[in-house]
Amino acid sequence: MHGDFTQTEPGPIVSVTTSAGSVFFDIDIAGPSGTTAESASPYSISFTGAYQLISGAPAVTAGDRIWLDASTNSEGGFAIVVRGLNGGLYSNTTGQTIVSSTADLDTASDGFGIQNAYISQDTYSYLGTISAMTDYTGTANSVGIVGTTATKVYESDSPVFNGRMGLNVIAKPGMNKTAASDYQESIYFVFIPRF
Amino acid sequence: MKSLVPTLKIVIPTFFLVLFGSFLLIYSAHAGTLTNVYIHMSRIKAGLTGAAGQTVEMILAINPSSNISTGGTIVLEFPDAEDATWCRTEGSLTITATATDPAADLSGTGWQIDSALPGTLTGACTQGSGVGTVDKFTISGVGALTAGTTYGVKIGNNLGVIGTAAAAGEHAITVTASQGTTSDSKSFKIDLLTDDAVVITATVSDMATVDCTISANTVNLGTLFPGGTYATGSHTITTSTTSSGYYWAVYGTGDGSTDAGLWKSTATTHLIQSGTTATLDLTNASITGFGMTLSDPDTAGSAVVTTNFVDTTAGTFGTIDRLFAGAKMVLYQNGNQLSGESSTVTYGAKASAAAPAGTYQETVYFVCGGYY
Repeated sequence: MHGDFTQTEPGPIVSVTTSAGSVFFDIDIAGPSGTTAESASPYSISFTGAYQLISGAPAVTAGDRIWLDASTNSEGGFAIVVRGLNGGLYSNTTGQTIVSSTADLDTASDGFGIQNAYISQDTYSYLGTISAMTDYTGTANSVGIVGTTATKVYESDSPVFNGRMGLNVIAKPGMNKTAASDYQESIYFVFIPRF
Repeated sequence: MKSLVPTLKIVIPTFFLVLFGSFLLIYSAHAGTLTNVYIHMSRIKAGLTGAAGQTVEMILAINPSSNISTGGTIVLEFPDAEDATWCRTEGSLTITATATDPAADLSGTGWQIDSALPGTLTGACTQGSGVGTVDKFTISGVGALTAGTTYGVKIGNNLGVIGTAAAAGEHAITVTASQGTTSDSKSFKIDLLTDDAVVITATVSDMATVDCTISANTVNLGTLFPGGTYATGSHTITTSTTSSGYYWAVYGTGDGSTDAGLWKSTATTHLIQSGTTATLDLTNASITGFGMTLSDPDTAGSAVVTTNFVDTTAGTFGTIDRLFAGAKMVLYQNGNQLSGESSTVTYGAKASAAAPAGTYQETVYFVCGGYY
């Protein structure tokens, strides 16, 4: 043995692949039992037939739900926000709007909104959980607003895999709403991963 | 001297090695990673052109890990294969410092905007062209940034028009905040959808209702001759369209205590009572009284005149009772009524030989309602 240094055999190789993160978001329309249902766009929900709205009558929950899939490895989790085109169900024919607001439609005379009905996700120690914002966690006919400015509906503070969320759509036209078949709102969903 | 050579062989290379290493250390200290970043887009649909109804704008939140001097820039770079999609039209962008974004902030963390992006901000979008150049949004005139502070800025359209890539799915974006040799950046992905909207449609129907009308509020039966034949008079009742059906019921007033019927309230008082039987056959010489019939408003339809009040036997009338408690249903329909329909109400009365001369009157109340 000569010199000042010795050398051992190489140690175990540790490798890692980095990427710019992964994100996945999807919208589906299905009934209350559609926890795994997948559907293609365009996405629509109708208050017609058995679910038609009657002026002055109690609130009606649409037969289908809005289902959302979300997965991301972003360190700060994600936010899902909604925004409505009209701020309520608007009729071109009558010019009237069933205005969306955060309200209990059992006591409000008129209104429209969405309500969290389902949340699930994979559970591991390094994953987060999804929570609905307070305005959207009501029961019965309490709904959260779909306004013309963006509002957060769901959030996670950590990465989430296989997140699934379901939203009820509930509406109640007041006695002052004129009959028409073209009340409509477009709800835009935005998924915001936080890296 | 001979002994100095080995020493120099070690010292000189070590000097240059340390010098080079220091250079690297100093240089790398200026190239950091953005500690926190998010982009809150107004729409996440693929293929938005920025035209009316397809407008895209975004709020950017960044938290640098380095202190960055004033006069810097923030640049958003998009994938090379997506040229001219994120920047649909080259030109200036509207840059608005934003102190909060409650829709996207994660409260109490580095993903919560602490402060509006400082500086005299201007923006522009430029398109990539071919391999090696990419679409970029550049924010210039950025003030001094402090490490650990999250800044917010809104990027909107001006002469430059923002869009989204044509394809749905993941898209990598690199955000770089820099000034001089100091540069913090992070690459991450966002997801674009084939469709980002759910369309809610609704049919609103009028509340259930029924309109009921009576053609006349007075009917003169003419002159009744004691012990003579019966007299009649009539009017119509009309029912509007209904969704589930309707009903008509009637009750009288009579003498106010005994029975319904034609009442002579002045002396000598007398009541031509409607009677206790269900019907009156006023063609029978021994029978007197007051009653009514209704015609079927839709012979082939689903409206029904109740049995005692049908008008199919001339001279036979159904009897009525007093007060609301004595109301009798005379006409009903179970089911949708598509158009208004009418029924003729005919009153029949016959006075006994003992009836004193005078004026007789009965007030018949009609009650109409819908089935909902």
